[in-house]
Amino acid sequence: MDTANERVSREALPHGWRLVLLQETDSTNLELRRRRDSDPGEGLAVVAARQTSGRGRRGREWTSPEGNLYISIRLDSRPGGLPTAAQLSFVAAVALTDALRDVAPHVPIRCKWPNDLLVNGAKISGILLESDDPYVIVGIGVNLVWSPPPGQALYPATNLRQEGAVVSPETLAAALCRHLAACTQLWRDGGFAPIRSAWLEVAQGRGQTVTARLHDGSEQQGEFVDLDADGALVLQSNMGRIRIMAADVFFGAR
Amino acid sequence: MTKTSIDSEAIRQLATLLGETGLNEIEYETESLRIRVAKGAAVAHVAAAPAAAAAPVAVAAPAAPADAARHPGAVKAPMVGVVYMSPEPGSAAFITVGASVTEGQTLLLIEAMKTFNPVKAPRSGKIAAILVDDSQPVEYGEPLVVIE
Repeated sequence: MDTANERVSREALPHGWRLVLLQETDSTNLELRRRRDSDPGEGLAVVAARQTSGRGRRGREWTSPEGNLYISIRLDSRPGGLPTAAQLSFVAAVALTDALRDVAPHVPIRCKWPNDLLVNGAKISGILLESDDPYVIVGIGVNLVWSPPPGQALYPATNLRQEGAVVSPETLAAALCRHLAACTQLWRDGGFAPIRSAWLEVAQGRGQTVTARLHDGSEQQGEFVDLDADGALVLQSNMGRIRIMAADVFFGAR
Repeated sequence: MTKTSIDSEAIRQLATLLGETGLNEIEYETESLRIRVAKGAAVAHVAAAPAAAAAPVAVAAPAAPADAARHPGAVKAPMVGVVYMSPEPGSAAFITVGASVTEGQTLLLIEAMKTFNPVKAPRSGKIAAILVDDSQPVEYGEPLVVIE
């Protein structure tokens, strides 16, 4: 039912998927959690025109003015469940890359481990996943018309309009749902291998030196050599191979 | 002289095996490297073979003692990742040793590749031990917390 704050998208969607458009919410990830009982199962996507408390990794604020895309999608982590749920981080990155290539074909997209998309080295989107066992809520923010000015965010940012593409949140949301359904199916049928290959094809900086800043503030540096079977970033340092499972990644030595 | 690098993954796997099998010591040897992981001393030795190359490097064994792993109240890691003991940096920890928890209460978070997973208490009880530190990487099945 459509209300002043809520309407259902009429864009073409995969079978069984629902795309709900809200004027405003606190956070689309929280919104999806609240709908666990009223609209259960995979394929519920919620878009908000504005988020009043959008969040990034580890409690960081995700500034959410109108015009950008703020979307959360509920996926089913089965059959693998929690042990393989983190692979959905790469499923989401590959699907968003494919969706952006659909709606903005001339904009070159690369991916920074694990799932930040970059245009000419600047961050254009952020993806944060939260388990809600057996589901995983995939929260995605894409800078369509606005991005944080230099110095405000941890990483230099850009937006699609600045890169010469005008895309509406609803158009990108529908394209994303279509690719996410396809990539999730690919993951269920073929496991992580096809997703890993697709991700490595768009990965930025393979063979180059990267710096991983860990939670405790320490930094690990090495050549980005691989993505392992779990999705960990594999760096070759002068101390040997390092396996990174959670970090902020920067290119080059620091 | 060949340079020996620390294969932390191999050590971690051996330490996990140690916990799973209840053995006290595992030694693993290849042409270039010998790794011995022993429980009593709580250290893992990595020595270049031949031993003349460099002094052995000792690192703390990441695995918890096997008795904690076998404890019926041990809560184990449902996924690989990095442990966070508080919801956000700088905020209070979810749990402390001795605190009472109720079933379903969040004990800690595990992050892997930007996927956040709250580890919840499978039953009510008292926190008898916390076996991991903030920011510590954990393997699947590694014991995290003991609830009694």
